[in-house]
This record gives sequence, structure tokens and C-alpha cells, in this order.
Amino acid sequence: MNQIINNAHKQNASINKPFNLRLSWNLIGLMPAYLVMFFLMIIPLGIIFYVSMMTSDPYGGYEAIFSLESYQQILFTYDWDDNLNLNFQYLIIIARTLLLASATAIICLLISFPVAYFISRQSNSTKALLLYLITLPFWVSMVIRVYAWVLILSNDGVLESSLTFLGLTSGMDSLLYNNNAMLVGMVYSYIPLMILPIYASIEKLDARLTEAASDLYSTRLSTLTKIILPLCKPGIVAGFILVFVPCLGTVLEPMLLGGGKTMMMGNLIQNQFSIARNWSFGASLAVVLLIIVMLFLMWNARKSSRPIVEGSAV
Amino acid sequence: MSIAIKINNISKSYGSYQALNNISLEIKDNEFFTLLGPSGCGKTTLLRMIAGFETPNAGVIQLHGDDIQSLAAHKRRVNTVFQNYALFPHMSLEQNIAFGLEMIGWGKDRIQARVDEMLNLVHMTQFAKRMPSALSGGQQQRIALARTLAPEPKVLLLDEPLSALDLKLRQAMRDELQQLQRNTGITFIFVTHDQEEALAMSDRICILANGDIQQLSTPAEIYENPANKFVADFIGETNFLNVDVINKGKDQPLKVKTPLGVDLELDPSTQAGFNALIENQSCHATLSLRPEKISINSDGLDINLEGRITQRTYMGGYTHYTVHTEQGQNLKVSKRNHISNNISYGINEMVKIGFLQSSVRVLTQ
Amino acid sequence: MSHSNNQNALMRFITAKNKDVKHYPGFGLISVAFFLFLYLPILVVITYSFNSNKIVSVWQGFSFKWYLSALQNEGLMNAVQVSLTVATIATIIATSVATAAALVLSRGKEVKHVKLSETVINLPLMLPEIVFAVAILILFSQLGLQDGLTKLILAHACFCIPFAFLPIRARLQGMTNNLEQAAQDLYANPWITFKRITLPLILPGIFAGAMLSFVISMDDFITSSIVSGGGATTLPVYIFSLVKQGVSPELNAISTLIMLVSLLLVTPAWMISKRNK
Repeated sequence: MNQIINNAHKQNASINKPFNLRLSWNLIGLMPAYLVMFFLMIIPLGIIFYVSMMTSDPYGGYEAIFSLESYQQILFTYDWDDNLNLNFQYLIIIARTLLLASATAIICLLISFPVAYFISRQSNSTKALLLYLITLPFWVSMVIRVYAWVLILSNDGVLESSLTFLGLTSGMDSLLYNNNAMLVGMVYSYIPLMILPIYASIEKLDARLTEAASDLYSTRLSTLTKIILPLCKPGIVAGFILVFVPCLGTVLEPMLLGGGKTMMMGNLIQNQFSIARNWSFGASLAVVLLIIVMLFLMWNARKSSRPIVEGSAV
Repeated sequence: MSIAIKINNISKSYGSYQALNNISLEIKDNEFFTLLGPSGCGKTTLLRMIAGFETPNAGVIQLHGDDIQSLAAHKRRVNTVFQNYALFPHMSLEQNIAFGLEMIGWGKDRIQARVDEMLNLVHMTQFAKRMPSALSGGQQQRIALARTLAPEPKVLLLDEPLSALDLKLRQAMRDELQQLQRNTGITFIFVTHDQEEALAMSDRICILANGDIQQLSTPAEIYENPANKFVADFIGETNFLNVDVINKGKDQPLKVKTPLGVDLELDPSTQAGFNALIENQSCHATLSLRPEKISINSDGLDINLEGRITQRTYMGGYTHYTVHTEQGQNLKVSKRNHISNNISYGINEMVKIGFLQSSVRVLTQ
Repeated sequence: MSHSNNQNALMRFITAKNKDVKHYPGFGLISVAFFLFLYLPILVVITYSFNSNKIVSVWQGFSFKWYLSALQNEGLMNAVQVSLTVATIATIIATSVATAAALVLSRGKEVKHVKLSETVINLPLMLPEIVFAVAILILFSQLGLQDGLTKLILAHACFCIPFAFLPIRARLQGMTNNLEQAAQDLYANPWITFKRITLPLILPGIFAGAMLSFVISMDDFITSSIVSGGGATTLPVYIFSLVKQGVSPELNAISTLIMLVSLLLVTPAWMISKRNK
């Protein structure tokens, strides 16, 4: 439609005097955004691809010699005889990242739907209050929120000393520095991003639909699975993306709750730039992460381009 | 009477979609002029062109003889009442009305006097300091009118201004609008899809459909003497019958053979669709006969038929019947429920029905 | 008031055998547990910030002393200063750029490629931040940019743009351009239309956008930790370094102070944006 109007205007350019003026205003308005994004997003991404295909410099940075060694390094190591051996070290980290991000998104979903539904059933003022309470921790520094879990889970931490004090346990294994600790931290960090879109889609739902369903002898459970959940799918999908994608690149939770040993892609990449100073390897890992995210988003876009419910394609 | 707006060969298309197709019309000074048509007929596009929010692909628009094509919207001495009023939500009613006056550079005192005058005109004086969100739909409507009338525009454009109001209010606002137009003497160009609204208020109506003018005439003429099948169908209710034209030609009576078993001979001067009929090659045509032009069991009519009542709908002021004639045609008949003549007919009752030849309109198919 | 409503609703959900077809038993219980989960860790931090014992997890007595030492912590104050400087400048840049772009995309005549422009502006939302952070780190080192503050401001301004853009764009889209046309119809030229109609009406959107970018910038850890250096440490990066050194009561006090400040900032902003809806 826009194209059509544009064309109609073009034919008309000669009599429409302010045409040129308006066009330059458009340019002036959009130019800063394009400049910023071009120089600070697109060029750096280009550089990342470039660096990932260069040779790493043991003294930091990279050497401008083409090599796919850094990609090879993700899968293989050289043994003493210079033979390539399959190395699962990094594959495990990638797998753990995918697994933890999926688990986080699924747990968030399982908690978020009942909570969002519960909120949508409250009076308007209660709704506003509860939504405020959900977004509030989000404004509190991310580092502090993850730190709170360090405080709770660490050796001699709040949880352990409380349990010991109550005589329930003594000298248990550290709760920190494992997959579960990271999972708890990630769910805690990202769950508001799941609740809000789901809540929005539940709010949009016509309340008469549930009434119509039960009028037609549907039980609550079948109303939930056959009416409410399918109609909330756009919100659920949006929430899933909003949680899953940042989880793939998350850094804080693996660093603070996972310790040095149980790494995820985020802190593995960061290490290449801070400790290991292997830029090419870091860049290639970043490219792999980017490709994973893009594949996920494209898969999702393809799936949701088919209308989920007639007339309510995402 | 002088011409307020002259529209000459205006065309507008959006890609392959032709919104307006070479339209020409003239709107007189002090006229209540209505653009009527179904949605998508191009009426709003035409109105927005006069206001300056759309540019035609071709053609000329003149305001009192001056070409206004090259003028930007804010330089045209025409004002618009928008469909949803478009009152500025961050300004009080007073400030809303004063806005246009400030823009044309009036002094403070003069503006205040005019604002008071306009508030008085629309009976909203006591609400001057309120914000638009505190008003009902009808009150917002009045303020929108006051705001657009304040700068004394030469022409007032109204884009379906009543469509957002409920039925009772709509009817009251109809009278108010008409009164306002008479008192101010400003030319009103009114856009609507509601035929009742158009018939009730307008001096003249222009019916648009598919980007073409279907008919431009007074309300009575449009109802009584539609120019084509679209107009007959769009305005009011009617019976359509397929007929064969036996004789047509300039200065000759129009003869048609009807499926009612009678042939009709009609005076071409009573037929708005006659010219179109002559141009048309086909001998098939459509006959239009309004339900209230048919009477039941009355004498003194040209054409008399017999039939059986198959359906009856009581509507309060009148009753609708469907009569199945001996010839197998179904005719809708509308009968007023007079105090002195409150006979009603039952289903399956045999009745005589009749009408005058002069009530019949023959139109191209 | 709303609190007691809330409690009533909770009671209804937890106890009553509800015949309402829209009621799902258990959802209320999950919600209560969820809100506890959300706030307990924060409460733990706040509570232990008042613990006089140097060993965090063993309660000894109530004390304000860790707050005093936090406020005298020079590293902390420097970090606050860096964060405030970066967030303020980045917000001003991001909000201006985003406002201009949103105005053109919503109100410009004959704008081409609207979808493409939106995608470009929202690019930072689409890729994981760690990728952006290392990419921009390499760029800066290629350019030989040394000044930590400049690097932080540039990076923050970039990823704040979509956060400023979205509320402004939403506000403009929610506002029919009828209002601007009505102003022009009443003889206002384009500049006056912008000044008197468009700008006042999108101001809440601009405010929300600025607020959002400020908070996002203040809170950013990943990009700041990778890009910083050159003598500029932001608050989250500084706190992270403290966390790395281990749990400490002073850290609890610092965290509590920061939460208090964000609460004081966010609540009025939230109220304003609510009233303007």
C-alpha cells in the first residue's frame, strides 16, 4: 500500500512543490540512526567475521593471515604428533548453552503462564500493582540480582547456614558452581521477559470465548488447552524468544554462579578477549553464537509466518 | 448564485485502484452539499483533496474561482470536521477553538470574543475550561464544529461527523447541523454513507460509487427518480423486475413488456435513466417500483393485479407485505398504519394490488 | 486497598472451591510462590546489609556501619560518577537520534523502506549482547581509540537507541495523524504543528524512552566490562569485581543503596507514564 501511495506521489512530483524539501527532511531525520548503526553495529559485525577468519596472535589481537584454524579449534585439537583429534571441550559448552537456555525458557514458561493468567483475573488496580512488582526487579541492577543468589547459595551462604541452624543438614555440597545454580539465576533474571508478553496476550483474549467454551460443555482443562493456550501462542512465542536469545549469550550467571569450570558460550567468548587473548577464536565463537541465534529466529519466523489461528498470524 | 467549489476532471488512483475517475462537479455558495456513497467509493478522498490532505493525479480544484491546487492545507480557507473530531487532547475547549484564530493572526481580545461567541453558538459556554477527554461524544462534536467555524471558513468540510454518535444523538445533531448551516450561511460539504442522513439534511446530494458520480440532484429527485439501478437500490427500498424494452427512441413514448402480464407506456420526461437506456444496446432493462407506491385493495389505479400475501412484517408506523402475484412475481408492498384505515391483511389472504404507471422507473440493468 | 483486594483474591484462589469457569486451581498458589521467589533474594541482600558481623551469613546484630564504609568507598563513588556520565550522555544521544527517526518513520511523507529502517534501528535487540560487545571492542582497538569514557558512551548510545525508539514510535503510532491534519486545517504551518501538537503529545513517549535508555545504560554489564579499561569502570563492572572478591557485608550495603536509588527513580517515572496513558 505504501508503495502504491509513493508511486502515486511520484507521478505528481512536478505539481507537489514541497516534495524535495520533505525528502531531505526524511533524510536528515533518519541519517543519524543509520550512521550510528552502520558504524557501530554493521561494521563491527563485519570485522568480527573478518577476524574470525584470521590467524590469532599469541600476544593478543590477530595477524592478517587467512586461516580457518579458529573454527577448527572449536572441534579439534592437535595432539603431540600434530594429528587432529576430535575435542569435545567446546562442543560440551555449546551444548550446555543450548540446553540451559532451553531449560530456562521452558521453566519460565511453566511459571509465567499461571502467573500471567492469575494477574489478568485481578481488579485493575491490583493488576497494575502486580505488573509493577514484576517489572521492578528488572530495574534493579542485573549484577546485584545475580549476586543475591551468590549470597544465598554460596558455601556458608544464607541457605546453608539457615538449614544448618534448623538442624536439617550439615556440611552439604556447595550449591554454587553447577548447572542448577546457573539455571536458577537465569530463570530469576529473565522471567519478567516471559510474563509480560504472555500477560498481554491473555489480556487481549475475549473473556466470552472461555464462557462460550464452557457453555458448549468444555471442561476447564479442555478450555485451557483448546481455547486459551492456542490463542495465547503469539505471546508465548514472543516470551520464548525474549528469554531464549539473551540466555544464549548470557555472561553473568555462568561467571558468578557457574564458576570458572562450568562455562557457557557467553563467558567462553569473553574469556578469549580478557584472559586468553585469542581474538580469532573468540570471534569465531561469536560468529557461531550469532549463527545459532539467526537460525533460531529464522526457524521461528518461518513457523509463525503460517497463521497460527486464522486472522491472528503473528 | 455563485460557485463555491468547482471540481474539474479530478482523477486519483492508488496503483491499479481507481479511487476517483474523472470527476467534475460544482458546489454552490451557501449550499448544504452531501457526498453520499458506500465505503470505498472515493467520497472521503474527494473531501480530503478539497482540504489539501491528498493530491489528485489530474484535474483542477477551484475555491471561489481561484485554483487552490498549489496551496498547502494550512493556507486553504476551508476547515474540516474530522470523523473522530480530532480535538487536541492537551488543550482546553477554549484553547481548541482559539487555535485556528491564533494561526491566522487575530489579536487576543478579538480571539476571546470570538471564542465566547462560538461557545455560545454551540451551547457549551459553561465547559470552556474543560479538557476534551471530559466530554461526551455529542459535546466533542459541538466543540469540533465551533473550532472549525470560528475562523469563518468559506467552506466547511464534514467527514462523517455523526457516525460515532448513538442514534438519538445523531438525529438531534442532524437538526442542529442544518440549523447551523442556515444561520452561518457557510457552504457545507458533508460526507456520509448514511442515506437517511443525506436525505434529511442536504440541499443537493452527489452519489458516488466506484469512483464515478452516479447521480447529482436534490434529495427528492434522487429518491423519486433514480438515474440508474445502483441509485435506486442504494437509496430506500424498491422492487426490481426484469423487463423487455419494446420501443425506445428520442421523442417517443417508452414501451416495456413486464413479467406482470401488462405492457407499460411511459413518458420519457419522467425517466432520469432514459438517456442511458437509449445509449444501451440491450433490449433488457430493469423496472423499479417503490413498495409504498403499490396499494392494496384501492381503486382508481392504472394497473391492477391480484395476488396472495406470503409474508407480513409489522413495523409500527407501517406494515411490510410480500405479495405473490398470479404471474409468479413477488412484490414488496409497504402500507402506512393510518388511524382511520387500520385494516391489516393476513398471510395467504388474496388481495388486489395496484399502482400508477407514473410511479414506474425503467433503468438499465 | 489494592493490597487487601489482592489478599482476598489470593484467599479465594487458594481456599475456595470456585465454580467459576475461568478459575484454575493452583494458579494462585504458583503466583504467590513466584512473587516470593522474585523478592526473597532481594530481601535477603537488604536484611544482611544491616548485619554487623563481618561474616555475612552469621547474624550478629543490627548495624549501619557497612553503609558508612560504603559511602566512604572511593572506588564506588568513582564508578557511580562514570556510570552517571555515560548514562546521561548516551541517553541524550540515543533519545535524540531515536526521536528524529521515529518522527520520520511515523510522520514523514513518501518514506521508503520503513520496515528496513525499523530493522536497522532495532538491530541491537536482535543479536546477543556479547557478540555486539566483542565486535565493538575489536572496532575500537582497530581505530586505536583509547579513552575509556568515549568508548563507553559510543557503545551505550548505540545499544540504547532501540530502547528509546520503541516507546516514542509506539506513542506516535497510537496518535492518529488526524490531530496534525486538524492543526494544518486550522492554518498552522508544519513547524507550528510540530511545536504545538506533535511534540507535546509525544513528550510522554520521549520521556519513557529516555528513562528506559538511562536505566539500560546504568545497568549494562556485558558491554561495559568488555569495552571498559582506559580508566573508566562503570558501577555494574565495579560491583562485579567486588562480587568476584567474595561475599561481603559492605557489598550488601552497596547493593541495597543502589536498589533504593533505582526504586526512587523508577517509581515516579512509572506513575507519570501511567497517568499519561
